[in-house]
Amino acid sequence: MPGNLFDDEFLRKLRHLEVIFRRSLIGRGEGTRIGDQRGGRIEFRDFREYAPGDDFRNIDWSVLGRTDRLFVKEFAREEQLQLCVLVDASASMDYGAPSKFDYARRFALAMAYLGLIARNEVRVSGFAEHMAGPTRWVADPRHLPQVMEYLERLEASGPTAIEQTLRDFYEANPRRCLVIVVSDLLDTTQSRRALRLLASRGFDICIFHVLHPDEVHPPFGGRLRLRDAESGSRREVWFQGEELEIYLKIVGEFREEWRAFCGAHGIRFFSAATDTPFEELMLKYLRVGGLVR
Amino acid sequence: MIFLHPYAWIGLAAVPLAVLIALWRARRQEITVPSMVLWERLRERIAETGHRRRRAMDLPLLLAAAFAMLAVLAAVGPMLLHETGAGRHLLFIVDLSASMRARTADGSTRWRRLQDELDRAFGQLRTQDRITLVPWPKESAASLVRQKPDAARRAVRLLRPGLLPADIARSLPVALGHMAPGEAARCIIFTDDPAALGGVLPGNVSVVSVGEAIDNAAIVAFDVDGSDVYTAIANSGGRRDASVALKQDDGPARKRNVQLAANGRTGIVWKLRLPEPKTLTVTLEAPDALETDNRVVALLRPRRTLKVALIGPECEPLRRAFDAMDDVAVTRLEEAATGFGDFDLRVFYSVSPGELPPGHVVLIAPERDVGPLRVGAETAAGALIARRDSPLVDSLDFSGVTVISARPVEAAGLRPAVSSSAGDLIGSLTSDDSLVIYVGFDFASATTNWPLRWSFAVFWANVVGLARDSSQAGWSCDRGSPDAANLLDERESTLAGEAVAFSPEALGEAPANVAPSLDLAPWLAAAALAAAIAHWRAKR
Repeated sequence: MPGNLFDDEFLRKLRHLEVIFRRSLIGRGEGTRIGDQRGGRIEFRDFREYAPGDDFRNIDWSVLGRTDRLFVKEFAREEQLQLCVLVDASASMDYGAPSKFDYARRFALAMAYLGLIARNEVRVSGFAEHMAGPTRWVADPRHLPQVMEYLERLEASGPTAIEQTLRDFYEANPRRCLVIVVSDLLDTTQSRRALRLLASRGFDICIFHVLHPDEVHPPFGGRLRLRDAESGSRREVWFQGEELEIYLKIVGEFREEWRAFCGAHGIRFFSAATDTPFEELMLKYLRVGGLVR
Repeated sequence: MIFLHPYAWIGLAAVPLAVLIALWRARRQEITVPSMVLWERLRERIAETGHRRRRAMDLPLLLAAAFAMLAVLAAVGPMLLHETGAGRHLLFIVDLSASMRARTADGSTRWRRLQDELDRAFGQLRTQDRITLVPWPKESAASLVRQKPDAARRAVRLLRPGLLPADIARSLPVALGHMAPGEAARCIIFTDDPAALGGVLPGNVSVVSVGEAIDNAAIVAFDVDGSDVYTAIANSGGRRDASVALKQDDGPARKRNVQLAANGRTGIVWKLRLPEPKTLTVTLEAPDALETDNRVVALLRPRRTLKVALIGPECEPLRRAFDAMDDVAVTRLEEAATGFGDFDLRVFYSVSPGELPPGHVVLIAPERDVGPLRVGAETAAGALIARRDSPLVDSLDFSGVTVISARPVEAAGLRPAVSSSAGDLIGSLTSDDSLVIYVGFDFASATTNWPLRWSFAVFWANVVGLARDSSQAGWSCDRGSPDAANLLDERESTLAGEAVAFSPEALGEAPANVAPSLDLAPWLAAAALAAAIAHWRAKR
């Protein structure tokens, strides 16, 4: 991964973005999101009649003077939410130049940056067959270099197992949070079942599907002997004209299947090829898709 | 067709080069893919229509090769030529005689060889030429006049030799009759027996012959006489053994082993065992070239009683003569009833019918003219002279026979049998397929002593025999019919002749020239361009 990921101009633009969390998530600590829970001293929320036990400091004395009735002011608590970015580090991601893995790591770093500047707790983890050793939860933008270092050290190898990864994640983090899965989804395990279960537990899930342009439209043809980067298995296939048309159709169907699945289970789904300019992805597509604003 | 730039054929070397390049490009490549998930789905889809996928793979290669070939062909500059000038009129006489069926030493047949010679002749013809085809004998097939070479060639392939003798010399005037007045047509006779053409041929006639001397044994004569069956076998070749079998109807074959003399004849006589067989089959088993003449089948008609009417006064010698013969039914009739009844032979004795009745008639001593016969006055007969060429007096001995007086006869077409100084006393006349026999003297003892002689009975037996033959009654056998009795003409069985190969000079001078008619290069270039575009699209 290149050392200088983002230039100043791009960072300046990123600072204007904010990750959109689902309202049902419950925050903790002092953050920047105005939550549904009462508390805090800054964000005024509403008036209500005084009830025994209310803090005297919240009585609005000017209203008492005008109406002779006791009203207290309510404030909304500014919450700190949790954001976990799971980056697919299987061998299939190490494809193309720049690779899908590089693109995914840049995306994960960008999301971590957005989470940290909003004072949310952020954790990043790579995964292949299992969840690799994740970073600790961090909430200070000063911890961003640690996240960056973690991503730089991450290597793509082994087969993809999203199902097992999500099980590992849930056992380690049972508290509801925003989970962003960055993967090519070329997984033969029961990944959808795990996602369905996680969504049913109230987790806010977002899937970023990343593919290389050569996967979307293969540039080769003729008599091919294909080698699986993950398993090393080989297959022979004739690939020309009509086969290419069928392949393009299959890729489209693959994306639509995932889009339909995610739509049915309240999961946000984004798909992009690595030739999509990163700035355009962050500032346009994710905003339109509702992950940032 | 000519080629303007023949050196461009070198470019054909590019065709295998293009094929090799296409094959090299189509070689198997190993590609590393992130996962097989999407590719496995593709394989499943392809499995449903795998055959079509594979065929589509070969299309670019085919189009590349087609492009290269068409481009080279266009560069060579092919140009079609067409013939100009007038064609020739050629008369082909084709011998279809039975000898054409003969096998040759190399296992072929004369007819096959003749067809080869015809093919060579047709190969020298041009489209403007016109062929008149005269199959001979002409009963075999109809002539085709002024046909195009292709049509004549097709017609020749349909011809087959028959069983008739050729007599090929007679074909020449028939063929030359197809020439237009003043036309200088050439005539070629395709035969196996050029010697049959005789003397010097006209200048515009030439001969192609496939004949050669071949050993052959053949049944050349076959006859049935009473209970005797006569067969003659001719052998044109060296001395050899043969087997001859006679079969009566479906009975067992009676075989005889005979030794055939070199270039000679051998006669065989059988006695019939069945009284009246319907068919006789004689088969010759000898190694030879022509099988058609090795078997003769004869259909025999049964005996039939000859019905004879004796008209006139009773004549004892005459009645006794007829009574001595078998298969003769004699009826005496009064003179007034001469026109009635169905008789094979009517014998008028001392009466003169007003006109000749139908059928065979014998007039004995008529007193006046009857029909075409002019009866003379009665006169002294004198010494009798028998005409040996008449069948009426066959095997007759007139020595000791005297005739006192007689009425000589005259008639146009009369064939005299017995004459004297007075004129013709016995004779025959054929009129409308009927036989009229005239005897100019009475059989009374005062007139002649002939009834007392043996020759009298023989004479009447000859009369009955002639009447039978004319009525086709009695023993007979059909000859020449392919199905019934294939007794070939002996000339066809004698497989002589000489070989004269076809020479193109026989067709005469070729007046035609050739001229370019169509430049094919632009068309081939357009086709090459189309192939290139199709290749480009197929690659995409």
